[in-house]
Amino acid sequence: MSVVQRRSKAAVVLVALFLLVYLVFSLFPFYWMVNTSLKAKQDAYQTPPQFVPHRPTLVNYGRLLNEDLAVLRFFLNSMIVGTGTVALCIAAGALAGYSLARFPVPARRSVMVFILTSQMFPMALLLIPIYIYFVRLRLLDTHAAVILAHAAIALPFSAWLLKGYIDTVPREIEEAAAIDGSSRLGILVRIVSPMIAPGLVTAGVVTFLMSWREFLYALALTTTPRARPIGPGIHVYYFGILSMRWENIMAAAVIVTLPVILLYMLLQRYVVSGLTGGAVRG
Amino acid sequence: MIVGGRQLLGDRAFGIVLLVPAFAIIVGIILFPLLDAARLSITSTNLINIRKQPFVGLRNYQQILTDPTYWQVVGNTFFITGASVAVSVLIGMALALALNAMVTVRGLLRALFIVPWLVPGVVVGVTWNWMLSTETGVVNYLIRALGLASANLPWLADGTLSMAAVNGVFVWSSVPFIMVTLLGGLQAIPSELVEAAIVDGATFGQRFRRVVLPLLLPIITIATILRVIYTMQNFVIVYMLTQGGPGFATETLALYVYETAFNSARLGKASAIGVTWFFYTLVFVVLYLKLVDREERQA
Repeated sequence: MSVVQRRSKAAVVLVALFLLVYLVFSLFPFYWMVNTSLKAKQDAYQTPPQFVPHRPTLVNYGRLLNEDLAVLRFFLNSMIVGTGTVALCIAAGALAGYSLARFPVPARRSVMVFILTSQMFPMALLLIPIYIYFVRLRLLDTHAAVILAHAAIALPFSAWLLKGYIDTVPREIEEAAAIDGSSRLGILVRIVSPMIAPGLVTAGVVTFLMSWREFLYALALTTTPRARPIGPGIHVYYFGILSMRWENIMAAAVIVTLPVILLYMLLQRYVVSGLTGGAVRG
Repeated sequence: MIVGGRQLLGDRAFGIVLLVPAFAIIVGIILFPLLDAARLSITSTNLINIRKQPFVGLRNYQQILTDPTYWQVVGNTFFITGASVAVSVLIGMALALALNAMVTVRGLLRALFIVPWLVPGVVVGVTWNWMLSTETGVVNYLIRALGLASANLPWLADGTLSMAAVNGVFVWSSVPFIMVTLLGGLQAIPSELVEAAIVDGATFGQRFRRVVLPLLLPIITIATILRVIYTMQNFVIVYMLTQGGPGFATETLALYVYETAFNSARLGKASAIGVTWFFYTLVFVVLYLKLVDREERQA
């Protein structure tokens, strides 16, 4: 084994170098985003650029609080839409998951494949009829419109994930509860739900992240700051009021990114298992 | 199955009732719009008056299929998807192998490598747009500082360069998914297999080709197809980076459908473009289902 070990010393250095280079490439845009956001206008466009801001300032963040820019409104809208989407997806997803895991639904396999593939079709195409419906229902530019659209994207994932978790709950426990007179819905709420708590957290956090990041529906289904989430809100700055004021735009970008990073740091285990579990097996 | 006393509904009926909310959402906001988009594609519906939806037969299809711009956009979509996914798979594979060898820092590095995956697309697009600015962008500064070019490169204003930039940003945002998925696959390979190959004197290259790659191939294929489906769909990155420009140099189907519908107000024509796009996607969705099905049968 000594041959292997001696040779692998050089290999380890090379491998570590490769990882380091890619890590820098991977994270540099975040550094640059924060870096730019901390510079005043006259410092942001210098050549050579200041890799560490000489005179760091929070003036760009202060400007975002300006009422004209409605950034708090956009942020609040994203929170409302995200929370609403999570509530809808957890409720409908848990019911569907319970059904698929426990009840003799006809054509169960086809139902599951249908749910799985429904998230793979071109959103920009679906948007056209959805837009027409929401105009007719007078739902355009409301939180409800964005919540419904986001729920359709995230629900397949919740249903599949929660079905998987419910499959792992021993049936004997439910059967005992049924003998004690619990209703089937009562069993789901009082017995099954606590046992699949990690699944509910995973579904919730992944759904929230999905909603927070989604752009196309959020952009097209809102027309004013009343219901517009923060992603398309940034787009308004970018092409509008703050056009080419990169130090301000980067401060806004930091604000959009921050909740995502915080959720990831707090709930990393759930985020990773949700993303990877949902990715390959469906 | 679950034994209960006096119940209004049988288990089968109850199971169907539980599916109703999820189905209402999925049918109402995915399946029905899909069918309705097909119907809209044979009308000349206009954004200005969405109630009037005059039937025009296949005119929209005839128009787009004979339009060179449409074919350029289709070509761009396939080129961006193919090139960025291929490069992402190579880099993701290399990173996964490297991380798998780094036992002590694997968890921390994996956590950091995932970050570009989580960030909202709007942030990805806008940040790279700033970094790629011709005069004051940090990318051009670094390129000149390293002596790779003598003048600033117009990354987002030149057709070829903007195509390269769009691909580069897609690679940047696709690699984490591939890396994490393949790392999971690598860790599922029984270590005895690799150790046995080491004892037999197999080099790294031999081990990779004969032991690791065959075992990993199903997961590589599935991850690749999922990434293809996702990249073909993506709207926000190109929209924030180049808006499909300059001209139509980086225009993709997602942008083309959106702009035809909401900027040119032609909902009927946009639906027709979208329906052709749906069929391109369907090829990969069917492929994905076939592969997953085969995997499950073998498992």
